[in-house]
Amino acid sequence: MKKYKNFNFIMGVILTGLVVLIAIIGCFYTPYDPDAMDAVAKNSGISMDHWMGCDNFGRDIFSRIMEGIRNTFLISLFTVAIGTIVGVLIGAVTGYFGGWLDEILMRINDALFAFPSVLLALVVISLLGTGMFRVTLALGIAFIPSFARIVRSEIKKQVTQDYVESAKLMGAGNFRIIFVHILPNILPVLLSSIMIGFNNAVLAEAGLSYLGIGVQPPDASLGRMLSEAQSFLFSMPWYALFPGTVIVIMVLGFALMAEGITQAQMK
Amino acid sequence: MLLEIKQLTIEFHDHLVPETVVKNVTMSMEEGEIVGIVGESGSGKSMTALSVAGLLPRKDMKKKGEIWFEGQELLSLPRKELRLLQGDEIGMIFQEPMTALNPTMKIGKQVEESLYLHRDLSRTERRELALSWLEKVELNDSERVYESYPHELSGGMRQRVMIAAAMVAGPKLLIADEPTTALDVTVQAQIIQLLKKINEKNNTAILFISHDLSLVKDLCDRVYVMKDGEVVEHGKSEDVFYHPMEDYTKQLIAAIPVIDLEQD
Amino acid sequence: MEEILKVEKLNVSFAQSLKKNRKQVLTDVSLSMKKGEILGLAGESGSGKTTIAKAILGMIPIDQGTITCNARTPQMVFQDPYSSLNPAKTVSWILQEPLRMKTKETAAGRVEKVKSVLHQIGLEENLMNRKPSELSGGQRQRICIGTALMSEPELLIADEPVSALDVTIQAQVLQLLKSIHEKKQLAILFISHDLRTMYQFCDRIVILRNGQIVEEGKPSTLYASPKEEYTRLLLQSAGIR
Repeated sequence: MKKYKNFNFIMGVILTGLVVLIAIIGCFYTPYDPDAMDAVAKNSGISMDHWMGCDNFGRDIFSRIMEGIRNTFLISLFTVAIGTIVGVLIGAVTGYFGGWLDEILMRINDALFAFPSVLLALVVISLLGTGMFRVTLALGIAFIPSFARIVRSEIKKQVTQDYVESAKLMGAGNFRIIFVHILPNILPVLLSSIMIGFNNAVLAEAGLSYLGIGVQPPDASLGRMLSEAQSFLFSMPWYALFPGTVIVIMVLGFALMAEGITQAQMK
Repeated sequence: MLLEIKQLTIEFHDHLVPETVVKNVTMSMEEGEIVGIVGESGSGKSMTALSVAGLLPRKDMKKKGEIWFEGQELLSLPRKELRLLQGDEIGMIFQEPMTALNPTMKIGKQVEESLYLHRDLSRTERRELALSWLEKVELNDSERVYESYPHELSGGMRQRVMIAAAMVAGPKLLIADEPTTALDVTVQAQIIQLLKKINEKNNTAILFISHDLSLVKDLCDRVYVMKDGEVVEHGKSEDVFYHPMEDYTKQLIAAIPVIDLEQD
Repeated sequence: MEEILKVEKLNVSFAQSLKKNRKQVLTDVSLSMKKGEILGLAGESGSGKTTIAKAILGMIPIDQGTITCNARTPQMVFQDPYSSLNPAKTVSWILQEPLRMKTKETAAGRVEKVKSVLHQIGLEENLMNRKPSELSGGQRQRICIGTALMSEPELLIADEPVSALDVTIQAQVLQLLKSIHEKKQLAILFISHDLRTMYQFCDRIVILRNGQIVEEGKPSTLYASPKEEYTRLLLQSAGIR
């Protein structure tokens, strides 16, 4: 896994690192206040003052992108975190113990799995209401089934290995066997599905915000910006172009990292 | 001379550092002869056999030397002509009969496969030939076996089916890569007997790959001992077994448990 | 001498998927082992050898019969050294695990014990930080034996411990088991299908067929004058008679 060059993984890390760096800088410094409107600069194009131009309210697009990346990134991060943690717990328990608990949880999982995760998120949002926190929670819940499924099938594979029997003979408890003995072995698979999940979260957040039920104005998110830019696609194409490009870079970065991890596993 | 391998070297190139798995191997086989290749895992014995069968991938692998089979040089033979030889002139059986058979295909169809590919026979002719070979490999109730699927058969029966499938087109050379390792002892002995019988009746030459020198001694006329990709010793089976010259061969023989029974 | 294991009239069956009746795997199996004895359990695949081992260790439920095991912390060595070591952990971690479970040894103390066991099983200390994938089959099987030794067992069940290994390595691993047996008075239940290796290794051999015991005896008498037809067949197939 370490001895050879993994081009995909390195490229992925560079792209993602770039995006994360911008988001971190955005926490402390933006060229303009992302929400400040400047009537003079309204609809202005690319210039020395505004690198990526201004939107229809005269807000600096570059500053808004910096804030948008941060919001999108945080939402995706916590979405995946919720999905992974709960998914791993459910998947591990069902995969390891099997039996009726496995049956019940997996049937519920199947039922949830039948809905596209965005649709599932829509249902949760309609129950909880909008806002960054609730969107994160909604997406997180929508992501649980896919993680639970992957973890369950990986754990099932490992359980048949003799090292698990051997751990039982040593006197290790079930909890220890699952989380200390087995989990490190499914980490590579889990890691690449986390990367892919992260991608889906970025796109799902963009989608929800685009529909107007994600991040609420005046907060910026990449999806929100795209949706606002929609009406000005022809008059000021850069408004849509820049947030769109950033989404592509983010998604590409994670996709490449996932690909790299998968390749490393194959070797 | 049926088969002649001259200075065969095989290198893997799929890692950063090329790895030589077979080094300057030279060996030969007469028609109807049973020759054994003995070695431990990593000795290159399977690689040598696979290269004769033309089953090594062309990518990521460098092969030097010559393999002459019936006046044709196999390594430089175009893929199309090589495929004509496979199954027709050269048959092969593997260690694990479960994975070597297609689980979704009836036994009969799998035995007939090489006839279908290499002979211009009608369906009934193929069926008859396949049935006769199922009987020759001592599968009683050949009609039923013909209609069954691999999972319905035991390991020993599957290996017999593999032998039938390899032999049905009447190859001159049968390559057997550890055909008994995955089987029970009683079944092992039967398969060895069967291979002997096939060799006598059809004059099929057998290249027998094994890690078990005592098995090879019983079955083979001549034996090559391989270690780390090289042939370290070769000669008549009895000579090699009872008068080994090389330290490594001696080690292999010493590893065979001695049983000194008081004969009664 | 004191008996450390007594199995009486053991019956085990498995549920079969799609079928109502259960498959009988072991029928009235009785055997016993003395302290420090090597008992061989010979039979072909499907004869129920591994099932006996698992029943003794309480890994599967039994239908009828009694198993009395007086041995301290019985341990098992599995056939496939490639799946019986956790691929994600280092040798040192794997060897320490039984100590973490059963003792209150400090980290430094555990490492000391790992070193001494590595020495016992004939491996270098520098293997400690390797992962199983970096070891050969023989080295792995030695580690498996080492892991079992960590619990200081009085009974070791070895389920075909050498059949996945190369012949020259087989002899070395058997040699290792024998020397540990002698040093520690360790009783070994040696499960195998290879009657040739069992001859010198075992004190007594039990022949198993289709879940029933066919014959038992000392290797010398059993091999020289087998009473049962099946034993004769096994010996013949192994090229012994």
